[in-house]
Amino acid sequence: MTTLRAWIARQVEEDARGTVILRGAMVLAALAAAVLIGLAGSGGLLGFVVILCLSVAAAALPDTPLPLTAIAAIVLAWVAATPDRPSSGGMLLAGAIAVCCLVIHCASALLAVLPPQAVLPAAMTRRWSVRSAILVAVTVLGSLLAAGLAGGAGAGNRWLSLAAVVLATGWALAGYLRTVRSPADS
Amino acid sequence: MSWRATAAHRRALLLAMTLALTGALSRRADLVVIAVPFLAVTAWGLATRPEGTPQARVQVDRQVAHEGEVVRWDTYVEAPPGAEDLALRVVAEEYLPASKSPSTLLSGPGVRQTAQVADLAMPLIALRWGPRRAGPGILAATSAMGAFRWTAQQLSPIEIRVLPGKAAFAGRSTLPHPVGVVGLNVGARPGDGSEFATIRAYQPGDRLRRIHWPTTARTGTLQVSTTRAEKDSEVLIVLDAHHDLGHSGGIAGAASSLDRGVRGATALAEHFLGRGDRVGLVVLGAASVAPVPARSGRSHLQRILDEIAGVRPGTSIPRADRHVSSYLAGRVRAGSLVVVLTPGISDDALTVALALRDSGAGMVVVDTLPGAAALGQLSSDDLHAISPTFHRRDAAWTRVAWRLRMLERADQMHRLRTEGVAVVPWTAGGSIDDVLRQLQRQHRSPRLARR
Repeated sequence: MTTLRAWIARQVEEDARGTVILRGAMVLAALAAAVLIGLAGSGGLLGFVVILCLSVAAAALPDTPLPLTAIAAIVLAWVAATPDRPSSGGMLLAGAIAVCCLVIHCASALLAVLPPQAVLPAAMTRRWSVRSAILVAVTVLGSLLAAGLAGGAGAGNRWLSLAAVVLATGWALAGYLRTVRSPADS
Repeated sequence: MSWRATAAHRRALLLAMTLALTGALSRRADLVVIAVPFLAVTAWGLATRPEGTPQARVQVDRQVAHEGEVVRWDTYVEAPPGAEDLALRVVAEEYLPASKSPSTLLSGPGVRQTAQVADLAMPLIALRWGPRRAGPGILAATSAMGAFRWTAQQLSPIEIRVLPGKAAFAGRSTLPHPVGVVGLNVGARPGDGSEFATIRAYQPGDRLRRIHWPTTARTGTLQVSTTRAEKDSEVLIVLDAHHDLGHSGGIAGAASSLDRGVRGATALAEHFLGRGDRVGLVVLGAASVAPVPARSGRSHLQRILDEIAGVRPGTSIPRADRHVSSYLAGRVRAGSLVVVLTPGISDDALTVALALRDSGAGMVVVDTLPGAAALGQLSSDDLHAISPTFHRRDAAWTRVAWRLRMLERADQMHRLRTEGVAVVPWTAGGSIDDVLRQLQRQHRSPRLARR
């Protein structure tokens, strides 16, 4: 136990202040998501604890699959808490959950960029903050649009769903190909 | 190496695909809403993927540094557009660490549309003398949103020679047997100088400014004051590098026996060369360090420092040590001063000291064994240094063996003293002043000669 405590103390000591703030933001975002899930439906204590533990683990090891696991746990908890199609208010809550997941993703991506014991440059913090803010704005706009459409004619339309599937599949395929192929190959 | 997708990019892509498809298939718009930021992140990362490969080269601002000086490791990277963040981590060795953090991050060199050269500077601090290695380093570049990463091959390390720093030494005594031509040591014979010798009657050839008017007025005949000639002397520094005992914490930490020896030798060489004396150097127990003949001048100090910086303890072979002994026997002249810096563990160094005493040279043995080691307060590292085959379970026996060796050493040091060799501990400022004064007194006093 002492060894674990010493290890954690050493990690915190070696971390620069900016890195500690990023790790804290990841845990806080996961907590906020868990609270929102609790507000949306009957989120159990077990789910809350699982999300919290996974977020702490993801904050400690951001360059591993743990952040993905934490986000997946949040999404599953959300789906479990809201089995029916959400209303307009539910869409806004989903937008807030999306923002929390985005914070976890961006913070872990930035932590993975940083080499150990490096000081986070102010210019880098500023750039990532501005870009994250843009992404949050896009997410909020998307959730507002979804909330507006939730009670409209488009909701539950079969053809709209098919178009969305085709678009998402095409997008995923293009993204996958561009990800795995290097510029030299193309 | 090419640009590779990071775990963050793969995560965003996977979440975007899964959530969007699941949301569309299950007609749950809330999942599509949650997918929106990941779709945007993925699109951003893909749109700004860098096309070129960064080019990196490394250089240091100096390849010879003194202890305590900072060596700047510069990595120049030609970053292509899209390579937004450059990260460097230098794997520095124990005695050449990074002065702050071993990692540095440069943000935004490749944000612009054209490639540009970025400089990642990493200050390394030279903590201990000797041959050191700066690096190797690891360089990585990352694109926008941390989506793609490029990692270079390991950046090659660069050899750096760290010269020993000076221990504080400010001896004020002159050398006992000045035999040279020009210097600052007061000789036995009269001549031009500043040290008063006597007052005698005027002789033709005496300078008028030497006339001592008070005595002339009192005696009624011309009297002149005379001075002693000032000459240079030869100093031979013998450094025992058979062992390096005790832990070295670098220039600001604890000093090992060889640290004390090396810094002491440096301080003595600089002190005597600064006074115009000729200084030579012989290193015992270290291969590839050739004896340095006695010369004078500032450039000679640089040569001595270069040789000392290359000392690797305990690397000589017996044949090389015999060669050094024969060199010493032929070079040491009566009247010169020999300073042996030794921890007194190796019999060879003590034997050399005894042999040189018979050559008529002034002899001082400076004890460089750290106090903790002399008292038997040894850490595991120290025990490893003493006994390469040391095992933790043998620690008690090794300590007992060391105490026995210390008793034997004390006996050897006592024998040296009874043979007339001055033995002093190295305490930096003025360590050997008292010994030099003793040698001067011995030189002036009558003595028996061996026939």
